Amino acid sequence: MTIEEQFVEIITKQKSDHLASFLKVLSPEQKKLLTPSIKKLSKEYSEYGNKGGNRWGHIKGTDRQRKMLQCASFVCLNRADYEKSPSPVWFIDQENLKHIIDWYVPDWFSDYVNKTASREFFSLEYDWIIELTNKGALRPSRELLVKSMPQMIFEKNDREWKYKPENLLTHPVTLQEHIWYLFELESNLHYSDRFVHFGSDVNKDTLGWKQIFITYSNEGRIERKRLLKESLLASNKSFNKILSGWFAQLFTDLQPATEELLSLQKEIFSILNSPHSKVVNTALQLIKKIAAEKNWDLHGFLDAAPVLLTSATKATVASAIMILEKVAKKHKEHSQVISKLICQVFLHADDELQTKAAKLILAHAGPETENIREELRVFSTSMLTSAKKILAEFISAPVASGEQQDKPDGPGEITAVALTPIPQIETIDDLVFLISQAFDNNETWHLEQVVSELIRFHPRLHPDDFIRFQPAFQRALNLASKGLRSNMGYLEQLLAMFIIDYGNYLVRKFPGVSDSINNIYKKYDNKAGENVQSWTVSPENSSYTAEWSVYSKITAYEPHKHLLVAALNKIMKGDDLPFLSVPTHTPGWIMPETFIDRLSMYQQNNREPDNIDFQVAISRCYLMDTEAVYNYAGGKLSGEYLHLVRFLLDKNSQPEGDFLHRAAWMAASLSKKEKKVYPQFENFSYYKKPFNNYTAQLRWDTVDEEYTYERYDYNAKKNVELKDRRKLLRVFKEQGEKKQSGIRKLFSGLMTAPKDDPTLLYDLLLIKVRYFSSEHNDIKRIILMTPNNPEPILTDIIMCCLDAPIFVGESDKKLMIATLQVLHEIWSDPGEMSHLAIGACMISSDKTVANIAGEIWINAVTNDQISNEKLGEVIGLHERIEFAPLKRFTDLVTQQLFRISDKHNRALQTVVENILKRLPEKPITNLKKLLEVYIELVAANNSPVADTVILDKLESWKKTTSLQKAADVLLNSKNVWV
Amino acid sequence: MSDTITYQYKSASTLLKSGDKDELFLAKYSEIEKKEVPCFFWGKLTDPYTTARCLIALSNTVQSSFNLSPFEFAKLKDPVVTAGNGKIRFEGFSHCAGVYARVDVLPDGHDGEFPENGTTNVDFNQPMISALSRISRNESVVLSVGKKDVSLSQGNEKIVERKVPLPVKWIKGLATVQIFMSQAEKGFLFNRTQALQLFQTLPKGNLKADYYLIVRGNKPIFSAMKSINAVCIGGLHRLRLLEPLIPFADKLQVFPHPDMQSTTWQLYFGSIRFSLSLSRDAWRGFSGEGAALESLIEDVPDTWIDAVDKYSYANQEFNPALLAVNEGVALEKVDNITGRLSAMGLLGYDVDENHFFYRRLPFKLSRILSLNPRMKDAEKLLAENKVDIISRTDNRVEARVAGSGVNHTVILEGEKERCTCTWFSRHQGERGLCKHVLAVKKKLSN
Repeated sequence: MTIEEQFVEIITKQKSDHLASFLKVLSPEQKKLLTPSIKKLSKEYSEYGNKGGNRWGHIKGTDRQRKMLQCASFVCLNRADYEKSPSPVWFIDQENLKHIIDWYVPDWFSDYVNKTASREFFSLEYDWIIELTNKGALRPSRELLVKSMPQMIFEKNDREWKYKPENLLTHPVTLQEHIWYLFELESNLHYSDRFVHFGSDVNKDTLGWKQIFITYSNEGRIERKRLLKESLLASNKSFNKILSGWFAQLFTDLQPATEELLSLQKEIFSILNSPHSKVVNTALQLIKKIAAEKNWDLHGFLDAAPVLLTSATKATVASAIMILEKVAKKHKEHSQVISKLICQVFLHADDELQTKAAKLILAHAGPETENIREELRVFSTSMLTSAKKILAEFISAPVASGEQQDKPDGPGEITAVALTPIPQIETIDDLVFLISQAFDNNETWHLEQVVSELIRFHPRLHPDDFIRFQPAFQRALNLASKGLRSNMGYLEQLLAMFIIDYGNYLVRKFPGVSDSINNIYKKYDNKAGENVQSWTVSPENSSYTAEWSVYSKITAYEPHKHLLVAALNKIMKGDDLPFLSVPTHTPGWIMPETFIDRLSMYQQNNREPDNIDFQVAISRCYLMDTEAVYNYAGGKLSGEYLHLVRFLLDKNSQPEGDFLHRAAWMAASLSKKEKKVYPQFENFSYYKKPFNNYTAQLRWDTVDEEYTYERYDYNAKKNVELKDRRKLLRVFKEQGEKKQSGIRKLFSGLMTAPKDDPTLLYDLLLIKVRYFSSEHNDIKRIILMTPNNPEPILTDIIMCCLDAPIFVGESDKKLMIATLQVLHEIWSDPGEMSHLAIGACMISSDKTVANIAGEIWINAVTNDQISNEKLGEVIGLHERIEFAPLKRFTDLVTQQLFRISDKHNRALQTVVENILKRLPEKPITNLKKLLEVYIELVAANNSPVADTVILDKLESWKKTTSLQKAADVLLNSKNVWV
Repeated sequence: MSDTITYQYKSASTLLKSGDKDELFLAKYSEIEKKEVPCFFWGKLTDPYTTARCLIALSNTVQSSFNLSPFEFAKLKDPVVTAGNGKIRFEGFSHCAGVYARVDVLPDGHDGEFPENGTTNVDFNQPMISALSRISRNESVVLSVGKKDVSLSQGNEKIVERKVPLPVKWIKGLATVQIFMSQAEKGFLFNRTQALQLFQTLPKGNLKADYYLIVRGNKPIFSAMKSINAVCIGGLHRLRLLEPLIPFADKLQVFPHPDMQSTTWQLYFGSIRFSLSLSRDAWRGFSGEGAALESLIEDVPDTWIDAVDKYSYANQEFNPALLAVNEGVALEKVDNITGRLSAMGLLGYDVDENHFFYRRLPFKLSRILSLNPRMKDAEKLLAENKVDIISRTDNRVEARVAGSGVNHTVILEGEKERCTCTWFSRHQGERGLCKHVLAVKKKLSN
């Protein structure tokens, strides 16, 4: 029997007792000879799958056989092969190796075991590592030891956990050497007991590593001096935040004496550079204890002070001020330096910190104050009123409104984008490259530009040109078959369908010369058995574009789909009249002249524009400075088109004529600045629906309500109803058809209103969905269907994304950001929903959302395009029920909105006053912050509190101790600032 | 070519206390060093406190990653030091190769000697970094890059050996970032207070959206909305690496790339400068940008590289015209030589002085040149005869390049190049040329 046959017999007959004696005597050559058999059997016996009868598991062999094979792999294979064996890592534990390691250790063993330290869910037992080391089988790396040590003080017998600190005493090397590695390398020391449960009667705080260090150091088993130093250094060693804080806490828990602290000053000062606030604050607490001592390193602290005083953590700044105050009191010779240093506190828009800093300077600046005056001048724009009052004698020319130096930016600087023409497509070359990039959603207008340019260029295309469109067809098929990339929306999917349809049309129209397209299509045939699904076959003689839909059934995609289907029809009919709605200027405007020119082409050719195309064009018409164009229309158009265009362009014009294009007239009336009901349209079917839904001037409210939900109760083994509270924003869209009075009903009946008015664009632009996916990549283009009246679609976005205090998911957040970005670009006449969106976003949990909302406000105030009363009301009604923390708003104000210009300060005061008016008498959290902001605004604007509602509220809030001071200042503002 | 690199230091870098002064010893290693050079610099630091803080910030950059899994953190790379011409420059990348940091110690920043000039990797270990944070202002610190006293490191015993996967991104980044820096323009300049104000507006958390640096009134802020003259910054949170240094800086100068593909933020501390360059986005490394590709279209004769080695020394301003005159290279060929040498890791760029300087990366040239997959792909297209020039006039070239299953159209028109491939469509040339355009250009140049 050959050696391979012997081995196969041992495995197949599961002779595990014979395996060790068999392997032990193998020579290196024999092991090499056996390698193929081991690899083959290991593969066979580890195969996993359906064992029949729908039972899943290992198809062949037993657990014992697999273990025997793993053992053979360990003994016979080289490292590379062993690493490929079924379970190489788990095999090296004590249970498996203890019978082998005495007679065989592979030469790669030590290196391999050390490498396991980098594995996330695996660690060897510390005792086993020591045993292997003592046997000479392993030279453990520090990483390996550090990985295993945190768990060594816990043992589990059956189901019960035991705390075993004495395990550290088993091997002398543990306390002498290994334990210090825990201070060198990152470990999970801080949560080593996370999965350990000792029972409800054991207090976890009394046991664990911290307790061991304290006890063993008290008992002299661990050197205290070294322990103190190492724990300090470990708190600033690029470990994670929690572990760093854990070491800092260990140092504190060791209760170092003053002498010990003084001897470790260098180390304490060095951890002031830590990026973790817990560590820095621990160091500051320690420094406080020694700051009065003779031998403390004052200069070291002064070196570190600039970083501490500019820290974003308030507690750090406060502690640093406190220590510097102590120093200034004791060391008069440093009071000038300290006073100068402390000026940096005025960068923080925090009244409490600034007051402390100002008092310190006042007390210790000394007689030579020129330096301080100079330094204060630098910070004068960020100093708050209370600090300014304290330091009045240092500020040579008190500026009532610090921001007067900062003149308003003017619209030029902060207007996002002036109207910019969209680059035109001049040649077929341009078209080829445009189609290639249209799938990347690089610009909002690309999709429509591709479609319109194909309509224009199609009649001029030569079959030789088709090869140049190959990449576009490939991308379309790729997208249709494989799905969307992260930058794509469903509109890219729709475009893909359009391009596929167009390709199919070319193949039909130019048989023979269109092989270059056909061949690509064939590569995407989906073969499932006998059936071959091919993109060359259109569904039921229709088109992929016409059949396309999104799974969420959001109807807001319908206008785009409609336009693309219409474009295909135009191409097939050879109709190269341009679409009316293709934008001419960014982000989605049409210059009225261009609109008139395009419409006149339809009129001259006696052709009817597409209904949706007509409405989109009207809704995109740029309606600023339209006087000259009004006359221009007269020379180009006549009849209903002329009346319609003039009605659109002139705010005073009334609708007149035959109203053959009812949807277009309706879209025009909704595009005008003043959106009102026209008696001339009374028998339009659209007027049977609630008109306010088309203008989005809707009622809304914030509520804090009780609700019930179901949860499975494991004890009762059934679903139970539970109650909780939630805060919601509700917008009340009006439902159903408008009820008519009897006479009106009779009258409208006599007028015989047509039942089938063409579809109104706004009846399609609706979003009703709870969870978004890729819609954020489309939303700009959807909003830009009606830039003259974005509020109806905005209503739906608010109802989906801003109805709760936090975003449901990342997609909602992205959708809101995209919405705000496009609103910023088209902002002109904000209505109820725009104010609601901006107000709600200003207190959003997402910083970027809040920041963009802030930018919109800044821009809108500059251009007088926002009602600050309304905005204040929106935020106030949210904060009335603490829909979101008020601090979000006060932070936004101090960081972004305050001191932009006098005009902005006045506007901001209006916003704040309108918030305050809506707040309840019982103070909400962080009201003090808002009052402090209000104080600054009142002072900056020199405009004392005059509103009686606010004065009454202040009287009421004054009763709360923490608000007393701020309320008093405001109540007395009339006496102080006027 | 091995796909790992082993840093072999004869000892660990340390901060040694000796009497009343400290010695910051940096152990060095270069795989291309031709002769045994014990020491590049030895001397006193004029402002050891600031230098130490800048080196800590550099170390923080090198240890940071903005797009990789924590597992990748284990693979630490060491910074590169270039000493010579009176300056010592320390440079390094974040793991993701999207943040480049450099500390420049200018001639007034030290009082020392340069026994040799050159570029080397230096060992940055945690105990040394921790020791750096304990340097105070009133201390006297001597820096040595390599051992000055050879007797201290007798024999060839390698005490510190760190094997890491070949830092492909790192090397590619070092060869690419210079090109972005050389195209950058001087932008906003802020004093310390303004810089502190600006960083107060840096939102917390990791930011996915683009932010913009704008100045409103006299106050600089980071805003989420674009406006005129705004500097666009993707992955703004990466700027936090600068935060600990700002309270000590005299001023902050921003250098934006004209197409907003990168920004460089330079802090000035008298005779020390710290600069941080950010790639376009947190998920984009300088390594993948392909800005250097165009410079590699034409082969560089070995004689040029030899000449650069012969005539240049570390940190010396690189003057391509002088090189051309000395080597008899036709002047019209000199135009692109700087870009080419930079892409080969032979040059660094100083945004403040607005010139390239000689710095030969301490990696084998073969490694650096093997790291351009797009160029390799372009060469493959040419080798397989997949590039067909359809038409060629003075100002316009149209070519057909066979791609995977389709033919791509490449049109070169004046300075503008376009391709129908996905890479070009997506990035519109902002991330370097695609392999198809490269192949066409290479074919034309031959």
